Amino acid sequence: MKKCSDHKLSRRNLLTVGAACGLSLTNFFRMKSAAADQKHYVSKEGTAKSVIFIFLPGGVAQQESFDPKPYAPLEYRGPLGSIGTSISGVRFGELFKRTAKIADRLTILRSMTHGEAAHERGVHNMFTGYQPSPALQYPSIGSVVAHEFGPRKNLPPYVLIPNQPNPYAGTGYLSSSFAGFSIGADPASKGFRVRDLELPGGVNFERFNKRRKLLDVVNNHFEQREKSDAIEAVDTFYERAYSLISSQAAREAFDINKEDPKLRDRYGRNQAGARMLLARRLVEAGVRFVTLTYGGWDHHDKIERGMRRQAPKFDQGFATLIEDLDSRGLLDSTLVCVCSEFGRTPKMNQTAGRDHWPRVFSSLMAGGGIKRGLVYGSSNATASEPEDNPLTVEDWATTIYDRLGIVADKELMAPGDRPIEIVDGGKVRKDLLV
Amino acid sequence: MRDHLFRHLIALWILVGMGASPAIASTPRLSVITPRGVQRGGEYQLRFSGNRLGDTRQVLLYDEGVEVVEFKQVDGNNVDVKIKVAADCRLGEHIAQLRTVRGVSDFRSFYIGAMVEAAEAEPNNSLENAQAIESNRTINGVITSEDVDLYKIQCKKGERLSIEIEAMRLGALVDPFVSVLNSEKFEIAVSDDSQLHRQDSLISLQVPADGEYYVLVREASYGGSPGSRYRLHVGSFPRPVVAFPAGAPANTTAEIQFLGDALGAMEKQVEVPEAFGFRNGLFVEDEQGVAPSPVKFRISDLENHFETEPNDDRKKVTEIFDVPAAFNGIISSPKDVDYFRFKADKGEVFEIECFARRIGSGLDPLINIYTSKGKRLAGDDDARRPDSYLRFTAPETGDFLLRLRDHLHRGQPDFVYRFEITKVKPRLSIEIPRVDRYSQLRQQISVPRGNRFATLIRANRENFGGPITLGNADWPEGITVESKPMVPNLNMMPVVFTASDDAPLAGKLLDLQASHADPAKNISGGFRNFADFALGEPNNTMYYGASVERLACAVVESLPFKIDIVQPKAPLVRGGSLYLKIVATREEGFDKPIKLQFPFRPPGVGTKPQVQIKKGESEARYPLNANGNAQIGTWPVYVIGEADVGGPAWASSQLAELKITEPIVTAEMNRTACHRGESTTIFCKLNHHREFEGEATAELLGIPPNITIPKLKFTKETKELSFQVATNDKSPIGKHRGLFCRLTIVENGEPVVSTAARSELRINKPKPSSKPADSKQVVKEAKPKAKPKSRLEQLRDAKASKPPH
Repeated sequence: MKKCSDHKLSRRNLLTVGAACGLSLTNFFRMKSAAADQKHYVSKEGTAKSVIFIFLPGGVAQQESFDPKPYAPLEYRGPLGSIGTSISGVRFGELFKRTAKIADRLTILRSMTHGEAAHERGVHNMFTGYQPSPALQYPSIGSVVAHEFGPRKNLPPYVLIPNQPNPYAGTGYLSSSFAGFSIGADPASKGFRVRDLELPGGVNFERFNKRRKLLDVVNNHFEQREKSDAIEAVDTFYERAYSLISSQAAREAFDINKEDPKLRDRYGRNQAGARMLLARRLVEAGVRFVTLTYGGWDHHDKIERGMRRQAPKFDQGFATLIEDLDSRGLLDSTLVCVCSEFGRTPKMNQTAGRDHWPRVFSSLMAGGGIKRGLVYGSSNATASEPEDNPLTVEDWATTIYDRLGIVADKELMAPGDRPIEIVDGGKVRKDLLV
Repeated sequence: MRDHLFRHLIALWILVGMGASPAIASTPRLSVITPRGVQRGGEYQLRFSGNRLGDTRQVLLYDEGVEVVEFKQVDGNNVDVKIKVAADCRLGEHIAQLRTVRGVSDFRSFYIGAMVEAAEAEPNNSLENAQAIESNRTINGVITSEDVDLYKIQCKKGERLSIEIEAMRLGALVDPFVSVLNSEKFEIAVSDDSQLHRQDSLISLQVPADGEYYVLVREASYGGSPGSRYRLHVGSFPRPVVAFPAGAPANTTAEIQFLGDALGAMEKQVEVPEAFGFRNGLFVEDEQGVAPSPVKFRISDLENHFETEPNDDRKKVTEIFDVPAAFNGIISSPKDVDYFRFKADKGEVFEIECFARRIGSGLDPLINIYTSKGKRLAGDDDARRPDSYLRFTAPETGDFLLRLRDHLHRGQPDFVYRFEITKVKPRLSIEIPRVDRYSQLRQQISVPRGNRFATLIRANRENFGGPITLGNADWPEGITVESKPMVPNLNMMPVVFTASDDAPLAGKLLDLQASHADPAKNISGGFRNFADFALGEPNNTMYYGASVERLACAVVESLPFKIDIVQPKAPLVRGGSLYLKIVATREEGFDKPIKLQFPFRPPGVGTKPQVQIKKGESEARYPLNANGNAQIGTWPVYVIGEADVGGPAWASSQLAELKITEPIVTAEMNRTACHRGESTTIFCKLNHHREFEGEATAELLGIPPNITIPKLKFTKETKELSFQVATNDKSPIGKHRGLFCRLTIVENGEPVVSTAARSELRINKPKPSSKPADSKQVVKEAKPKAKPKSRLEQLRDAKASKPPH
């Protein structure tokens, strides 16, 4: 029987619940029957052993990035030009020069579509694969991965660089044990250290273990008195933190200073480069899902200036990340996704910017069992509607899960013993797969 | 320390800069005037702070009662202005802006009070160290983060204690909270928000007993910052919040009740002026003082009618009013409903405005109109957020009932409302639209000597259509103004200002009017611009802003560049594009880039937000395109250029003409398909709409890679073009929809470029059976002697050659 971790049903629990709340046998059987109907699939590592999920908050303009319209009327075309890529006939925005050169290792999704034009709703879609609902908090893809596979090589399964970027990158209805580990500092900053990874000054391992035993005494006392997901989750955190702190290799995964300075220069010594380099170190060491954010792309005003400030740094870091993964033989086992909550309006606005546009926008995928050099879907002449192969968030998320080895139709138990699909109704887009 | 050093560096830079060359900071920006207010009847020094305020030459003031005695430049970002405030100066918000030699700043506010001013003295964060103040004082204070300011005041039983705070109204985003505690430290009055001043708090109470009282001021959520200034008025002044009736005709004596004061309703005879001037409202005064801000009041020529209770049932309302008129009443108790009966003839149209929040009342009105028999005809809740408005057309001749209640069935003695029922009248106002979402950038007219400046003027037309012309105004000496009438279907017009070489450097606030182009229509309206002073979460919501009704205009120092549009000789055709040539004339030594914008776009014309004349260069081409429905005509257009001359400075081109016409030639293209590696032909039928001379070019664009389609030439005689499509073994298979035909025809010596037709090319997989030799043969056979066959004809041939089943 699959259970929601904070709604465990054992014989003992049944007796307790029955005695305290008068739970009827009918109710119990109804709940049991819900669990019996739950769709279950065993998750088994797929082609993508890890995921680097690069989220560009604010909504990147498809026209200025990966779906330029060089022949559209000027007010649609926008202020920036376009350049050829290593895929014949495919053009990128002029600021993505290095990404254009490695385009033949990517899949470019030009027909992403959903209907949510508000930031928080669009972000929810992209982090959970679900439209927001007032009835339920859905877990992020990273938390589902943590739930399905757990940690690998003493490392947290789900890491957030630098922090949890929004509420939807959290655990939703799953237990807090599956929350992402936040780095808590920007790897681009001088003297970057991951908080919580080092023992406090003057504390050696012997002393640390002594403290831990003392803490266990206190914790056991609480556990005997209280039953709550929060306490169990804290336990899980501690267990994972202990294993992290006590493993030299795991700790070093977070130490960006161990990288060759030349490689750091190639990534770019800035937020984009440092975060992507750290993400590579983490997946190389065994982290299953790394989420990182870079910049603010909500260009309602002066989009040219905004793009010129941020896009080159992203371009440098991202192209290097793909080259670096590929040269280490990691690209085929690491799925890299680049996305944003939505695209931007086909027509420029009065303040030389573009507003929110979820009808069609672009994303990138690379590695982890995704085809190389594919342009999937297209938008129409003014980048306002999908023209071929509209790609829904559900199908996109289902395809990511498929590459990870998770069947997205699997149901997880939400509060109230409601079995909820990981993604509702998504289909794997086989055209994207190797 | 760093700030200090920085200020010195700036000052040094300005001194050096001024000594070395006439490079003077442009585009002055005014951020704040401190102190935020002063008492009327005295001389005070105000500091105007912002950016690029060096070389200030004038302080522009929007209202009477304040005079500038002198001003002194502190540094490039600060100016000290000595003002003399008349003893009878209007209280409340005053607006000022600065003119420097290079421009006019934003406008900002300062306040005039009636009471003696005092400053907050920290520490005053607890009851033990509360700052002792006398009654009838205005305290200038600051709420820093988590700050609580306490003031101690002695009061006598029965006297009035009124408190009003100006905080959000000062333009810093601070939401104040005020409470009064008695000597036993119990709260006896609190005010977070108020119906009269939204976030700013108001208290009016009758002191319950002799003793010491504490006035507590903090930010509502314990926020605050060094910029969170406030002015706290504490005293025995009257503080009603609403007038009843809240309007009366001009130049009459009206009996007005003022409600909301702790000592009860105040009845006064008010001489209603012709107009209020700069800031409207009635200042309520008695022997104990004057309220720091006015009660809102409408000057209107409508006759006042009043509700007569019982009027909460349509059957009880028998008096029938003629309209237009104003109906006044109070929803005085919960569940109160008021009906008015008025008569109208069939087809008459009325505008029904319900004023409640807009006159300082707490009522949230909900209005409905019924027939005399009770059938509902129309209704509104929040058209005026949250006041109500509707336009009512009488369906028949007879009497109708207008019903009002509070949306939540609330009611209290100061829930005043006022209906103004008028015939539909044309209304017009004009403004300068924003070029920057949250600032006043380029909303002033700064015309450089011997150069031009331009702006768009937006007209807000209500209840009429037709062309609009800009009226004459008392422009500063040496300025000439050029504009064309605004066409009926647009609400925007470009206006270009030119200053002569010898125009004196001067500025003024002027009244600008616009009117219907036909004087017989007698429709005109004035200028009004609004600025946001306090913006905050969520999503940059505007918490406080101010409007002005006069336009700041000045002649400023000359610029080291000029720009001109080279008048195009060829038209921009529907579905076509055109490059507008812009030429810069640079002063010797000035080689900075000039950023160009094309602000006025005729309907259907699109362009890039910005084009640059590069460093040291003197030309740029501004691309324009017209869609298939672009409005045909000759349009006034301009280009404005921005360059850094110690801050951004703008110069405009002349008002040039852009002609939009029908295309010279249009085309129709067939869709076509072929197998990869084969060739095919795309036929393009030409429709000539007017004659042209010489040879024109047709080319297909949007061609997928590895496919070649050569350009073709044509003349006025050509009826059809045949584009030869060659594919190879790498040509991409699939439908290619982006194909379009571009025609370039020369007219008046200049190219007229248009997109004539769109098409689709499908590349199929090579036939499994077709060997290279065969395909060659197919191509050979397909080579026409007379006329090539279309795809349809080819398919028909293929079908005909197939053996029957």
